[in-house]
Amino acid sequence: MRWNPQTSKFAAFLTKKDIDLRSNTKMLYLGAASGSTASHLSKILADGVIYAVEFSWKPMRKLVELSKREKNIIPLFFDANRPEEYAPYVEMVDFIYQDIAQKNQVEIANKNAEIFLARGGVLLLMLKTRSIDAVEETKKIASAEIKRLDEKFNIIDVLKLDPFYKDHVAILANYDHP
Amino acid sequence: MRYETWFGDIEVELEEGEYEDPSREVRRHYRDSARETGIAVKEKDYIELLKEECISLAKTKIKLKAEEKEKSIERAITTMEELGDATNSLSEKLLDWYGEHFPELSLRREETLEVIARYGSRKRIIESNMDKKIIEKAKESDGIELSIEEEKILRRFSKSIKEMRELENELEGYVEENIEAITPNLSSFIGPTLVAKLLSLSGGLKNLAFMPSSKIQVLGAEKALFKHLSRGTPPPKHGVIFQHPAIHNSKREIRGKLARDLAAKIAILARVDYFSGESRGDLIKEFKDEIKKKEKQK
Ligand SMILES: C[S@@+](CC[C@H](N)C(=O)[O-])C[C@H]1O[C@@H](n2cnc3c(N)ncnc32)[C@H](O)[C@@H]1O
Repeated sequence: MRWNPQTSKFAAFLTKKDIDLRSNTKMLYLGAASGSTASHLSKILADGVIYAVEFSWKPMRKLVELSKREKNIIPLFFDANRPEEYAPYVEMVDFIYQDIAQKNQVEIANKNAEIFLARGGVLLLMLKTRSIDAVEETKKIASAEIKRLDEKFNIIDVLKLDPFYKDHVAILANYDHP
Repeated sequence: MRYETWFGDIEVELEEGEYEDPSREVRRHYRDSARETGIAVKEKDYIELLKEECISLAKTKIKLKAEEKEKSIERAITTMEELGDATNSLSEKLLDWYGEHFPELSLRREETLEVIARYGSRKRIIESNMDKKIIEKAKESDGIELSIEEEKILRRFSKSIKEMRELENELEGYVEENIEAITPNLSSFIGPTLVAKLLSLSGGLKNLAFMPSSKIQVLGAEKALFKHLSRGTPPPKHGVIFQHPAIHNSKREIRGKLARDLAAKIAILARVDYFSGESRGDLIKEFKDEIKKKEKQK
């Protein structure tokens, strides 16, 4: 199946920014849902691994089936708010991709980076905004919030995902934790 | 320090103050530690074994969640059934009552309810831009008058019924969606409505999965079965699965055989749903084809 920027924020992001996704990347994917984006990523990260966290049982069921077909997807049925619970299963990663529409999404990203994101690693955060008009404001607030919660982050880029997603911005940041 | 990992607890000694956060350092070396423990000797074993572990963990948790959900589904089903009965009997009452006021309004039930909620009295209907014929009828009606108070009550009554219907639909959607999630295979084989009935008669997916197909075949025909055992009447051939179109549309002579066959397939799929939960499109297609073939046999 074609990777469609209308149905995957990651694909929409790639139409905006060219990032270097090495095939041996270790990725922590928070909010993997039933795995439609993960299935595409698993082909790109052919020699890497995707730790796919999802806490809702219905999509999890499909994610489990998908992980049986794709050798490098590890399904983790956990709440991304509680990274210490899946820490025994997840090694350090180079990339955290987060697509969770929750109020405390920035806090979740930070908690997980603190535990799993290697030094020099990348965070790609799909941030839900209140409205299109609020995008500019959201950009500012979000980058400030990320810095505030963890000054080890350097914001590389903040991008709108229009026309595909009008209520999301993508935040790309670099992590500098020893 | 001891660290908990999926391949067992590991003991790691790090110099005091060497790392800001030692657990990050430990996590960088999971693969090495696993190799040293003798768990995943080859690089690719690590992912394979870890995945096996995570899949089985996820499945256990899914099963727990699904069992929890079954209880709310059961509540939703009984609520839905009672709501259905109640709205039917209440709308009868409302229609009777309104019929005194406007006996000539011969619309279908739902439409009448809508008219009552929107307009209420004949007077308002006459002032509205409704269908000319209805307005004519309202003008010439010889129903009794409605007081303002009565009109208010009847309109509220009708709106309430509408809301109850909406709730019923919402419940139905909830039940179907969740039944499909819990029993992907059974639902795709015989439809979520029939699955819901089987689940409530058997007391849940777990029971259904452990039930012999001979019993599934007569689920919902307990009275007939009891009579058969106590008075020697002929045994029932089918219970609630009679509602499956393959059975009730087929000839009398082959119904028993079809019911037996259907029950056997239901038993298998209940087990697949309970134990693995994996969608088995291949198996369902095969089963559907077989049933179709048998339906056509004389
Ligand atoms: C917008 S969807 C993700 C879609 C997915 N990224 C894709 O492109 O296919 C968000 C998902 O995050 C999950 N989610 C929300 N809060 C979560 C949490 N605290 N922990 C784990 N998953 C969460 C939801 O269940 C939902 O499946």
